[in-house]
Amino acid sequence: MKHIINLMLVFFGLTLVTAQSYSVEGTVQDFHDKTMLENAVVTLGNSTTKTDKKGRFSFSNISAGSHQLVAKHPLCDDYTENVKVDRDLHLAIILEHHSNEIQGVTLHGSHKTKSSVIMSTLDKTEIDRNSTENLGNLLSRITGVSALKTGNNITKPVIRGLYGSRISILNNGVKMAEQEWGVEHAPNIDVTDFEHIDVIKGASALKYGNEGVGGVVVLEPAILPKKDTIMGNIRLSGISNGRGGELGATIIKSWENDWFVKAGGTYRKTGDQYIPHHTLQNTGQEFNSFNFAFGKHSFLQGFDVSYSGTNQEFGIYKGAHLSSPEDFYNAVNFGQPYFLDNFSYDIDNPKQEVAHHIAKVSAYKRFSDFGKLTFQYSFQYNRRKEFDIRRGELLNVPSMDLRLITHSASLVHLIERLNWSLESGISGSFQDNFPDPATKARRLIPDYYRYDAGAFSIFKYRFSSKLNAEAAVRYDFSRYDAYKYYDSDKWNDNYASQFSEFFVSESGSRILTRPILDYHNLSANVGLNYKPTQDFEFKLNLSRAERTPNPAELFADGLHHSAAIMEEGNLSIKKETIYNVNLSLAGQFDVLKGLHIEANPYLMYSDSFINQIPTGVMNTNRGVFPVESYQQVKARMLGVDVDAELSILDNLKWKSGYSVLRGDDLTNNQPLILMMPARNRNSIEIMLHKPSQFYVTLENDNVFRQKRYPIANLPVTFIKDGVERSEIVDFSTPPAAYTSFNATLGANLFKHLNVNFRINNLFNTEYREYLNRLRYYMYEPGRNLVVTLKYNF
Amino acid sequence: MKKLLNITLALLAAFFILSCRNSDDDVPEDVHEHDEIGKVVLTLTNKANASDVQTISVISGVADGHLHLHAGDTYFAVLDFQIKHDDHYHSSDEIEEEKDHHFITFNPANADIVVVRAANDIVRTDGQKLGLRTEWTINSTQETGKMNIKLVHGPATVNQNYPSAANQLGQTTGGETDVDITVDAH
Repeated sequence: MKHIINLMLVFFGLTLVTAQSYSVEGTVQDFHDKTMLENAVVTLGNSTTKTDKKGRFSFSNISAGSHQLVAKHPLCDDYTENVKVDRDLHLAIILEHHSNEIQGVTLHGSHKTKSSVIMSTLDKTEIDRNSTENLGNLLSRITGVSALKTGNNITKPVIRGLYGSRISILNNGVKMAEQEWGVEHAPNIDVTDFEHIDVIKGASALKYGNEGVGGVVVLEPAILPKKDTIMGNIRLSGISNGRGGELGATIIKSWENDWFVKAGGTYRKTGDQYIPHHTLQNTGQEFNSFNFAFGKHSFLQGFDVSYSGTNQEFGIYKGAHLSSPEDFYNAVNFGQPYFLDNFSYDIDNPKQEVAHHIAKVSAYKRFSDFGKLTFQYSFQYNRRKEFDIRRGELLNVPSMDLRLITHSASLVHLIERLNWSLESGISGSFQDNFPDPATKARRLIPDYYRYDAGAFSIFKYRFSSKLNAEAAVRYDFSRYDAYKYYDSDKWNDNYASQFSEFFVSESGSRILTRPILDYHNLSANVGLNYKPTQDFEFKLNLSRAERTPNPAELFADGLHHSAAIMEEGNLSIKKETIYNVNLSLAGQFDVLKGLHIEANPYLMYSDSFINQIPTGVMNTNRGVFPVESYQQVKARMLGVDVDAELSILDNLKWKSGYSVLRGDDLTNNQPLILMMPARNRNSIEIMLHKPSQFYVTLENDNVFRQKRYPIANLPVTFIKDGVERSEIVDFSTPPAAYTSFNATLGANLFKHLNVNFRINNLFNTEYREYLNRLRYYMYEPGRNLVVTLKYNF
Repeated sequence: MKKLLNITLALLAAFFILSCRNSDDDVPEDVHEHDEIGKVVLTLTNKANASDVQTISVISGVADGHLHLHAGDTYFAVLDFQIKHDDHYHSSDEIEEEKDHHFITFNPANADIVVVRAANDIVRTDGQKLGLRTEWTINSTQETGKMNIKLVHGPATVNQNYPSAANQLGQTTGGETDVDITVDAH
């Protein structure tokens, strides 16, 4: 009953006073896209009929009086109504046959529609089996996605070589803000909160903003059932690497009248991490998260209010926190064995404390002819404190304390019809970044306000059941209004003539400036989806996306303790424009129990790619450091992701993924730095549904050596044993290829209790990853056994 | 529907208006680098000739002169680590206060200089002398003679008697190098 939207009775014809029977005819139509529904079963009293291709039905000889009308369609909820027949009737019955798909306020990406976007999804099973991993490590299970790490506690997802501001992360519909702070900041997300995670590759999801020129990660919570129930789970994990554990719980109460309330939380604590044969001092972490939401989601209208927050504290490996070129030389060449072993749970300086809180209100309403309107407002509070090894009264004062407040609001309209849909929206956001001067250390990122306003429109058209097309366009305006102090000589050398209007005042050797920078970005994409047969699908997506430079690229100013680099932003940087061609070919073949292959070649080109390039050296009382500045270069990336899945037997499945990428800086005629090396991942899974959902999976991960890399080494001069020596610290050469194995085993112990064993790095292999910025100082983690007990209710 | 649209537009307008910066009241204050030792002052006094006092300052790794050392003489060397505040430098007493977290090492090149930690040097809790006050005996120097001085913060191990108890150049493992300067000494 509840999904019946409308019933219109249209009376026509003359009622003959003497007649005792009438004809009743009508149509059954979908509410939101106005499709006429074929094969709907309509019962009126004792008569039953089916609708034809045009959704029409008719009854003749219906006797006068009240009759029960029931309309059923395989994809819809039943509709029941009493109809009084006292004349000939025309009934227009409107059902909603997508009600189970789109109850949520957040649209569920496009993985349920025929779209041209190239997307991969991690489902709940995969999330559950790896629930103690962070987002970066979890997503690197997807072909073409890897993780950029700074040690093992800070990981950012990399989609086909692009990361940071070029990737948007949508947490329950809210674009996470903190990626603006640069490479050493990981997204703060409790992955157990979500039902599935979609990774949209390329800049084809303009709905989510223009910044995600490399891709979008969409994290979606579960859709709740429309019934009176309480459900949830309690999770308990033991983690051998770091001798830690995790406790988590989720509870959901839903009602048949569409109301729901849910809450959940996770606490995790680990000590120093193991690499093969050793532990790394000061690599422990503590994490907690909490989320709460309530609302009402009916088909016609709904709203929800939600909060989620995470707090994290983690240590930075002491052996990777260095500050003079000679220290780098010694650490890279001879290691720092005195910072190994002596396992501890304590987290000392250097360390980071990171908090991220999100509050969101959203509401939607559907109008029968106008379509659906969705409004969303979100508030985000980010804080990052970095504690270094300091002296005196500053010992316990962070050397960086950033606070970022983000307000965002959007209004989106969606209209769907039989062969087309049009989604349009406007959005606005405001950010206030405040680096606390109480740190008594120079600001890496300055004080700034950022204003954004955007509008987009996405049109999808269905030419036939085989061919779909879409086109999208988006305009965004961004403004930075910042206050920043420069050293006088730096300002005078680089910016004084070009940006004289930003000058505010000069005091001693420092100049206060107020840069106000505006950016106009126009992004667009077109896509095709062609499915000539059930077994073959072809997708093509062309996009052009423009991105506003992030604050690190414009304003950064300081030393990276892990990379021996003085990082300098560049005020002259303009917007970055990226062109993308994405192709996907997928086929289903009749091999054994079924073989699915998908190949996804892509090309990215930019004539304004923002890249870090060595631009000089800086003399300090700690030695001579290379300076890297952000510059815009011509860049090209091309690569391919291939996935194959073969069902060997009903219970035995083999999966394989291969990705390779080549990135070039065409301006300087050298490879781009930090391009993920070629990788091949294989897994075999045995799944026995009886007796107790038993499964065993063995995974093998082969990462090849990256042979293409730019050379940016550090020359050092120092005195040793009475002799002055000049040496080179090799920061460029990527590490060797490696292969590692993981295994997972699990089953339902009892009706509601599930157990999962997972072993990462089964053979305790020593290896380093090119995309770990601390790879010079540490191996990747050693064997890790994670046991998770999950009680569902 | 109109209501929803109106509310949205009102909210969007509201936070754009509210969030506009109001004049220049909120200009952030400048911060100087409290951690960085911006200037190192090295003072050498010839033990045999009290009027032979040489002072060298090193800022941004660049010394404002070089040491003139006489073979056969012994010099009393005092190090002063200074932090910049506005436009002047002041001595840091935190290194002395946190003596157990600091250690200074010396590395001569192309010069035969023996360093002994002075009797009035600061002694750490572990009995090792910090290296703020030392005595340099010059056996020989060349035109290319140099002296490198390092201040290490939070070293894992320290050893003042390296290479020997008679020549205490000093050695550390781990830690952060807060100062790494080289001055010409010949």
